[in-house]
Order: sequence, then C-alpha cells, then structure tokens
Amino acid sequence: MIEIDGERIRTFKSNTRAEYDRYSQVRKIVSSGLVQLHEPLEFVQIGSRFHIPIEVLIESHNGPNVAPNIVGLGQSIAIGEMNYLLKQLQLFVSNRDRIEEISFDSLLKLLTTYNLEPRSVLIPLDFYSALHLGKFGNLFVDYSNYDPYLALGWSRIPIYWSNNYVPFDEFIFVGNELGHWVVKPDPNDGHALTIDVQGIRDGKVDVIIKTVACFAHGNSKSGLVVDVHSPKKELTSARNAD
Amino acid sequence: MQPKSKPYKIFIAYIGNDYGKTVARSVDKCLWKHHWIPRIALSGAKGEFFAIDEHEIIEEGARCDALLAINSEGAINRSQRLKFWLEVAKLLLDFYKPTVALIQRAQPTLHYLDNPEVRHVKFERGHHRRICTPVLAELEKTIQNWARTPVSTVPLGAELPEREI
Repeated sequence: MIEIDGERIRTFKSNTRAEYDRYSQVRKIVSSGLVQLHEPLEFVQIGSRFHIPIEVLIESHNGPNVAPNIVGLGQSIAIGEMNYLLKQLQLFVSNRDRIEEISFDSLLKLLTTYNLEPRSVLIPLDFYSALHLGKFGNLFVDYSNYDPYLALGWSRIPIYWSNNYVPFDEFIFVGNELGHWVVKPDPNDGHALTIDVQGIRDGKVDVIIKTVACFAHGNSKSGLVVDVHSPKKELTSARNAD
Repeated sequence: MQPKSKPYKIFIAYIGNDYGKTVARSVDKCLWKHHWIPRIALSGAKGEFFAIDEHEIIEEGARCDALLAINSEGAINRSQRLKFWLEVAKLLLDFYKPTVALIQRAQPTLHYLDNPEVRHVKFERGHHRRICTPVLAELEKTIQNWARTPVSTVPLGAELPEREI
C-alpha cells in the first residue's frame, strides 16, 4: 500500500491556500465575518474533487522530483467564488437603473437618488481605458497603493473589473448593508479553504478542495445595478457606419 | 467553463529598448506563423494594435487568453521597465492572466514573474529565434492548465464535480 506523505500534504495545502489568498477578492467586495442572522443560510460548495498525479503528494525516490504544488488550484476556487458572488449580486440587488451616457453627474445623481454610499463597484472591462483616460470628465480612475478606485467627488470607491473568467456588462455598486460573505471554515485550522485528501484511486490522489460559503442577504436596497451603454459598442457602431 | 481552444490570442509585453523589440518581433512572428493571434503594441509587428496610452494596452491585454512577458536586458532601467512592470502586474494580478515569461539569462527578473504561477522559458542573448517551439509549448500548457479553470458551485451535500489534473 502506498502511503501519502504527511509533510508533502502540509506543503501542498499551504501552497494551494497561499495562491487562493492571493487571488480571492470576495471579502473586499462585500463585508465578511460573523453576522446576526435573521434567516437560515443557504451555504454552497465552491470547489471540485481533483484527481491529482500521485507524485505531487508522494515522495518518489526513483521518479522525477516534483514540487508538492499544482499551480492554478487556488485561483480556480477564488474565481469560482467570484462568479457565485456576481450571480448573487445580479439576482439580489433590487435597485436597477439605466443611464444612456455615463458621466460624473449622472452617476452621482443615481447614487444620491438611491441614497447609496458604495463600499465597492464592479465595472465592465469595456470602460477600462475610457475611465483611465478621463473620457468621462470628472469621473476617472485614481490609484492608491496600486489599487484602482473610482473617483467620484470626494469618494474613492474600490473598483473590480470584469475579465475573461468573470464577465458582466453592468456597473454594480455594493453598499455596506447589502449582505455578508459567510464561510464555514476548515474545522481543523479555521482557513476558508478546506482541503481533504480522500485516498488513492486509479493511480491518482483524490483530493476535495472547496470553500463552503454563502452570500448572506442583507438589505437589497443597499446596492445598485446600472445598465450603461458600452463605449466599445459606440466605437464599433461608428466604425460600421464608416 | 472549459479551457480555451485554439487559436489562442496572446498578448506580448516587452521592454521597449532595441533588443527587447527584436525579441518581441521574433516571438510575434513565431506565433503568427503557427496560426496563433499575437497582440502587441509595436509598429510593424504581425499582431500590432494601436493604442494611445498604457491603459488601452492593458485593456487589450485583458481580453487575451494569455500573457507572454519578455524579460530581456534593460529590465533594471526604471524608465524602460515601468511600462513592462505595469502590464505584467495588472494582467497577472488583476485579470488572472495565464502567463509565460521569456527570461534572458543573466538578467534580473521582474519579481512578479518569479513566482510558481508563471512558467519560464530561458534564452541566451542573440539566441531568441531558437525558442519558438518551447514558447508555444509552454503557452499551450499554461492556457490548457485545467487546474486553473474556475470551479463550479453546488448545493451543500451534493457531489462535487470531478476534475482530472
């Protein structure tokens, strides 16, 4: 019987969790931690049962020297939880509006109308260069410690851009009361990422890597989804017209 | 979500001195020749795109399937490395871009490229034409890294999907 190496598993866990911690963003977008709960939470599992090559978790004296790490595992969970949160926000936020032309005034007016002081904003990638280049006047991207912020008067709202893995087309403003990210941590060490080695099957090590989490709903009015005409679509239309 | 299939769109980040451009053109041609889609802010290159500033370059990079970062000589020069540093930092960390680094031997490596998530292809000065095949192989491996593909969500108590690594 092949014995799985305890030391290599500890290193594998630590590497995977370090990668997850580097990429996980959900706790920056919505608040997190212990909350007073008014309703039972619907936890979900965000993860996979990975079949990992045996040499990653078992020291081999004859075979190749393989590091106890699989690049991408931590990231795959971090992006998975971001997709789950995005869907939750799209479904839960009750304030919805539309603006034809984005500007400092139009956004400020909307936030005032909905009485919202956002803690974060999700913005489609189409607006990346336009917002950096000041194409919307006083509405622009500012940086602090290399992190991007939407500058809106005196406010600086942390920005999270859409990307190939987490696509969306609207501006999503998140207020403090919208909800909380709640995690059932690993009972052994309290980390958000649970890594359980199940055993060896068909020549591979069966490992469950997951986070058990929930977006606990708060006040659905503490958020705003704004449909905005994409500057890229304008550009495409203009090119087609030419 | 499945890993991306060919043809892959590759963003090339390079250091803007003479040698950096030479390597960048060579790699651009290599990708083009093999029917991949290079994207590079360098006039006359096969994958040339026009950008008026750094942010448009990063936005273009964010739409690609992978980043190929050419860490050639000059990376320690502040002005030359700033653009390169920005592109690598933003695409790798803010946009989760699968990344392969082309490292010129005996040159300092940008610290972002020196981490386990970035695969390396090394080359000697003047020998950059020989690395076309390994670059393609490493890029493909990185893009197809099934481990990196985002996981799905299932209710508590349900069986998690299985994934071969």
